Amino acid sequence: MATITIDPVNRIEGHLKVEMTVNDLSGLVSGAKCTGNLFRGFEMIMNKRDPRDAPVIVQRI
Amino acid sequence: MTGTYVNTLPDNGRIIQNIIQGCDLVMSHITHLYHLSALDFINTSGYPSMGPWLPSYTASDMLVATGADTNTTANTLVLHYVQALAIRRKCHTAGALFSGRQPIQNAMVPGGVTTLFSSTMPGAVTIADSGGPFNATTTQAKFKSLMNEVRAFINTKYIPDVLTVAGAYGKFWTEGIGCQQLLAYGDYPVTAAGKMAIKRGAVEGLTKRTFNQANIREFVNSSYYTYDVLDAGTGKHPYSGVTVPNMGSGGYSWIKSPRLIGSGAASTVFEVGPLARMVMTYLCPTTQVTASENGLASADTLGTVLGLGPLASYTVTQLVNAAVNKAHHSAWVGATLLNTPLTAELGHLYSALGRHAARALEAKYIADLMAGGSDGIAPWVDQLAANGKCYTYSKIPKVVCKGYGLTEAPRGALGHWIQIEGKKVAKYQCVVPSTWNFSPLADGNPGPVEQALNNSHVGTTPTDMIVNILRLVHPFDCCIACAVHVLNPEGKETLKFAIGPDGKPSNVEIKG
Repeated sequence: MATITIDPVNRIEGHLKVEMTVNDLSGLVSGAKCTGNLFRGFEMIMNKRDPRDAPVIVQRI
Repeated sequence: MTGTYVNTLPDNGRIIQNIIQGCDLVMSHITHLYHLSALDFINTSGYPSMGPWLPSYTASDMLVATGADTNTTANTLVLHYVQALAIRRKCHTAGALFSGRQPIQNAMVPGGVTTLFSSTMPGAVTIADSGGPFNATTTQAKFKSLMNEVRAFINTKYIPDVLTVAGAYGKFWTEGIGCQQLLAYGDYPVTAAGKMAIKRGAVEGLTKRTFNQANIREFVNSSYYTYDVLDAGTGKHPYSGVTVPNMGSGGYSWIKSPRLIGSGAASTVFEVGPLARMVMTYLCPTTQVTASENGLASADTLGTVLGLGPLASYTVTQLVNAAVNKAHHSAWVGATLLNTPLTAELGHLYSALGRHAARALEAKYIADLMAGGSDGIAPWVDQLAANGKCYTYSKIPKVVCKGYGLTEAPRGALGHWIQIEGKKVAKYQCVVPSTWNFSPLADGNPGPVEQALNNSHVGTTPTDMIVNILRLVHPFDCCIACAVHVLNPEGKETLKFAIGPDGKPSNVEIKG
């Protein structure tokens, strides 16, 4: 059994890590884990702002 | 805002919002196949050792592009990779005719759009002029001209290329199966009454389940966030949701885990995205919106490519049937393609290839609705009334109010929940598509991508493993946590900092 980690996963938008165990003989995957490596925090940015700012700011997500 | 204090949009506002969103979706889908996924299948070692061909991994089963001027499958795919760069730009240009700029458009506002759709303003600008803005008639003509090029590319290159990749990598019809439960919020209201081109609902296998936004819960069991002691381990509906970062929480991801309870499905894990939208719409045959290939030369239609003849009118059911049949029986042509495929063949949509196929078909459907219409109904761009109202003003109420918006981003179901107090945002929670798909373990189950990786086969050599894992992950079209770069007008970085485990910035470095 081998533990495979790809960090970062390329050709995506954002920063992602995937980790899993692969059976050496069959290539079968188990125990996969996805990790988002960046905090977003738009909820905090929006707090106490004019609600009409929302479409402009949150579309950056 | 619509749903919180804004009532209905005027027709022009609704249609222009659909068009802006549709152009972004088509652009995103084309980019995804060629620029984010194609190199999972093509070995470009015959091309110069430079970007975008490097860095890359080479698996043992890749189609080899020699770089020579010969018409091999792989060389053609590379040629289309380059052509797709121009096509995605045309999608942006077409959308920007209405939105001012794409992406990150700035025309959509609560109540409609700020677009001026006037027959006389800004004067008699001809289509030959490269700049804008244009008056209503010129805008419509220019939009159709651009979108028809995009539609021809989808029909004669994008969809055939997906079928080509499927033909060469047939085993990926059964790899990356995942949770086999789908969720679509639905979008693209085609009537003022709210009839949607993309249907809303939850699906288990090929069976519809109950969806109610009140049943959405976000868990943080495996995420770097903390809930109150009383709520630890349970999910919160976005109205009562909180975002309190805590890297010491014992989790393993900054992504929360949205789950849907009370749907009647086997588990609370749901995959979102083009596959969810196309399957959900497929399962609503009686209320489907037809699209058409009108406005295209016969040779540029998918119907002709498949041997059906130009499709004056088609439904999502017919489109999916034709593509699934063609993928599994490449020799089939004509009306046989429209028969309902075997249940097992439809079931193969739950796979790495199924996700690519659904994305390509959706790009066609939306592009055709925008510029082709259907029999008897004008394309969206021609439904716009010159000088018509594009915006309705609504006053932000002084009283406390709350609301939510459910829509479909290119990557999948997108929901925002807002509470307003004293005319200011008191609470805001976004549950975005990749949060559903890339969520960590919660409520007893791994997230959709984790499940798609589990029980898949990725080979036994390191490079095969890497490439096969990417082939399984990429079809989910990840879009997570964009970074914010603070630059001055000269493009120089002005501020650099790290977010600490407590969620507060540290190591702040002002670079001037």
